Amino acid sequence: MFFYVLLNVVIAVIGIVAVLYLLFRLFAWRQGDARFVIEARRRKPFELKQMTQDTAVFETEVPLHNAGRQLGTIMDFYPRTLLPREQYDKVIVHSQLANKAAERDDNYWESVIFNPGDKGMIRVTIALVSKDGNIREDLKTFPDMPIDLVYQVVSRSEWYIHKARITLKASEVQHALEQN
Amino acid sequence: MAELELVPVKTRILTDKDDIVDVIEEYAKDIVGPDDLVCSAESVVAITQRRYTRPEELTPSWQARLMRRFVPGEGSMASLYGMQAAMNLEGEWKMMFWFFIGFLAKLVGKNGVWYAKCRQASLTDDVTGTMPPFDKCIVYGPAEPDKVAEKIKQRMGCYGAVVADVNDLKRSAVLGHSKGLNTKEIAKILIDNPFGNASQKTPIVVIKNYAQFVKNRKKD
Repeated sequence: MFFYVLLNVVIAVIGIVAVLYLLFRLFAWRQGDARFVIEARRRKPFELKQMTQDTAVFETEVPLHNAGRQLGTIMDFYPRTLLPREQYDKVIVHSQLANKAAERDDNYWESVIFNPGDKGMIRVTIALVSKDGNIREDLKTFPDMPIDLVYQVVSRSEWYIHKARITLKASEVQHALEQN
Repeated sequence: MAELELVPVKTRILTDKDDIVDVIEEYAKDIVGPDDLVCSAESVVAITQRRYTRPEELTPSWQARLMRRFVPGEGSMASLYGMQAAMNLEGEWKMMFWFFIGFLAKLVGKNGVWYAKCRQASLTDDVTGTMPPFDKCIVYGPAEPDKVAEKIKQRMGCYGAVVADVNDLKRSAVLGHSKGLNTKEIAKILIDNPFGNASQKTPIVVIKNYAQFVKNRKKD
């Protein structure tokens, strides 16, 4: 008899814990989290900002927003250019990323909070430096160059690192060269 | 009659290589007189004591995963890592116990029980709470703020010293102080946050003529 009472108590406790856990999961699901969207497809065309004998500087702006239901923090944000020497070996690539709402020139991303629905804009700057000293000549054969925009987020959930990708297209580079 | 004057003191970015008492002497020795009160921002005192961590260094417990869901989004404790950081100093079970008691107390109209019993829950600043390069860090409250304040007073030969937690949301509290000060009155004087938005930039504020002010108040 005692054994069956004990068994019922144990089953009841397990049942209560399970129901509470499910309720908590439901609550957490309804509460949601921050969800950052980097609108790579809506980026502005790359513009040639500066041109010297050996250097060309291109810039673009990329919108982003927090589409989630909670505020979130972008702790870090940086560009990663992908131009292997097997593909193209005529320039050295330097890249910078800045938050347009908090401009700085040191390539440092200052952690920033985005409330739900908040929008922002980042500026990506790519400097191409010729190895031979003649950037105009070198850029004639410049290929499409992917740029990963890597960002670290922390909010109610665990921190994570995501990437969005934009491309500095050969056609944009050629178009800029023709304009200048 | 000498009037109260709040003088923010700009310093370099302070790190755990600095000693807050030495820094105050270095930057404020020409300003501070025997009638003055020296105030230091709590987050900077904590940084100089190496009391900060990074989210990447923390392993969240199930208690932190549970409790952060029930804290309003704008608070440091709503963040998984802010909560875990506070728990690392206070203890997971203690935080959870007082969280539950605080919830019950709230039901009968008593707010702030959890924060009063678990001080790190109110003192810990989540990422973005301080200026670069510590914007990616979670900064705890300072250790032994009374002792720090007493040391500052001794070194500077001033009327008194406090370690204060002030923000732009008109919240001001004195966390540590040298002997014989009216902390509520000082918190009120600092309410407009003379430390500035990012407190490390001017982490020291000198309240000039504070001793005179106290003397006059006593006369009145």
